[in-house]
Amino acid sequence: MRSKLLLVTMALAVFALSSPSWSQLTTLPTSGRLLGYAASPEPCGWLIIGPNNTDIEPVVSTDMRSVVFQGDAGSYIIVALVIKTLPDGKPIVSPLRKVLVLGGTVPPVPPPLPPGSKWILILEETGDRTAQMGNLLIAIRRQPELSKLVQILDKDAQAEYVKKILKAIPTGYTFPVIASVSSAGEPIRISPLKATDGIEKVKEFLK
Amino acid sequence: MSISDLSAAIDPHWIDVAIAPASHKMGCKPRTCQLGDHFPILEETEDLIPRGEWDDLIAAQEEDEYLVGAIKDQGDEGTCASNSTTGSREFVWNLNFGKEWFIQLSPISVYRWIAPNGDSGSTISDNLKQIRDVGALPADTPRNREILQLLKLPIKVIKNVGYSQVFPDDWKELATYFRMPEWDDIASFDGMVTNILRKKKPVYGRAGHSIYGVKVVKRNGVYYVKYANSWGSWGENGYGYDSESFISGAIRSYGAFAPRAGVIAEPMALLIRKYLQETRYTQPLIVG
Repeated sequence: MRSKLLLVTMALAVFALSSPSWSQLTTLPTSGRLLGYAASPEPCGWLIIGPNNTDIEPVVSTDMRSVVFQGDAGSYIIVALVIKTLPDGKPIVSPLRKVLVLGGTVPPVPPPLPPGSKWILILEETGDRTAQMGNLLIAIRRQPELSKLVQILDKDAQAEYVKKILKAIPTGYTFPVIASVSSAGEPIRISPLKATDGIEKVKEFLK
Repeated sequence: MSISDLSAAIDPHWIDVAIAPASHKMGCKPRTCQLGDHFPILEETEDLIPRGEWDDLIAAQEEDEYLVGAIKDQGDEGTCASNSTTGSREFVWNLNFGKEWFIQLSPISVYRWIAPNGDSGSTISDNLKQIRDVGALPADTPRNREILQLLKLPIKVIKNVGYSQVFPDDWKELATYFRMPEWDDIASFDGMVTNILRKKKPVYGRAGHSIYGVKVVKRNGVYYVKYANSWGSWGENGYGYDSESFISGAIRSYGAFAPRAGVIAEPMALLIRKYLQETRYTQPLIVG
């Protein structure tokens, strides 16, 4: 242990004389952001376009073969410009393109709606669907104005508003359930839905 | 009972058709895997609807063809199993999100990666595995382009036919939005009827051709599956009928599969919801 401490002390002393101070060290990513990386076997120029066509300024390695950059979740277009020389001495630029998705492919949760708007979600266990319930779902879809505001999803769907409804379902309810959902994705009203309830119950939830 | 005994509601020309018209191909290969190899067996996971209940349910059946997105035309390529697979997937989509959000899927976007050429044909299970693991691309239609633009998705589309088409760069990213992760392997005619009545439309094969069933009908004591074909306007506006005996004789060799449905496309659900929110529900629906 003593010899390790001595080594560290000596290293610090050498860095203090010959290297930049600690405050000049740069690390990525900064808090809450995601790190992207790209590499090429040959040195090249780099161009990175972020979500919504934003320009991203990457950190390029000294040998020009790799870059790191940071950003939010989304798709990034990475273009590597490889410069080659033809036999006659003329340079040509050969671009390589790749799309890198940071943070998975799920787009961000939508922004909230103005107060007053609401929509209907029917959550079901698809494996338990009965023929009668299937007929009700088709009947909903056959009414364009209703169809527009109703979404039918499996209870295992990984959407945030689905999770909120699952939490809010009172004990003893069985699937399928019908819920009216606010602009912010908050459940307003939840009830079990039976095939015999018919389309009237769905309409009632929109009132 | 002979076919001539049937009521006029079913044209006997379109029952148990085993030969393709000269203008079209078939292309469904017999299954190479065993029942349950890749997907759960329906009969082991769900209770089937007893036959004693069928007639009432058939009588109460809504016009399920309403949610069939499109009758496709495979032309002279052996893509029937890709047409039926994508068609069944489209039905699930329309049931979940409404027909106003119908996105037609390109069968060739699935077939191209599981078949060596346009003539070879494919098994149904290969199509299902591709659409489960990779997904499919939207077909190149004006309506699809409009919806993709509304949802701010890249417009990477491909035609329904044309094996040698060039795929757009990074097409797999968009294809993941159109996966169908869960399917059931169906062992019996009763399982097929159960799924049709529960709005999970089965893809199946017989006589070298694959289609998907959309409705159960009964005529003179015999049960038939009304199926959506992929030969354009062939048959009864694109539909034909298979009898119980015709299906039962082939179901083990070609296979029958239905989407388990429901867990598709949460990313798409969010995008559609976002669009509706941004437009505050005031935009007119897209009509086909």
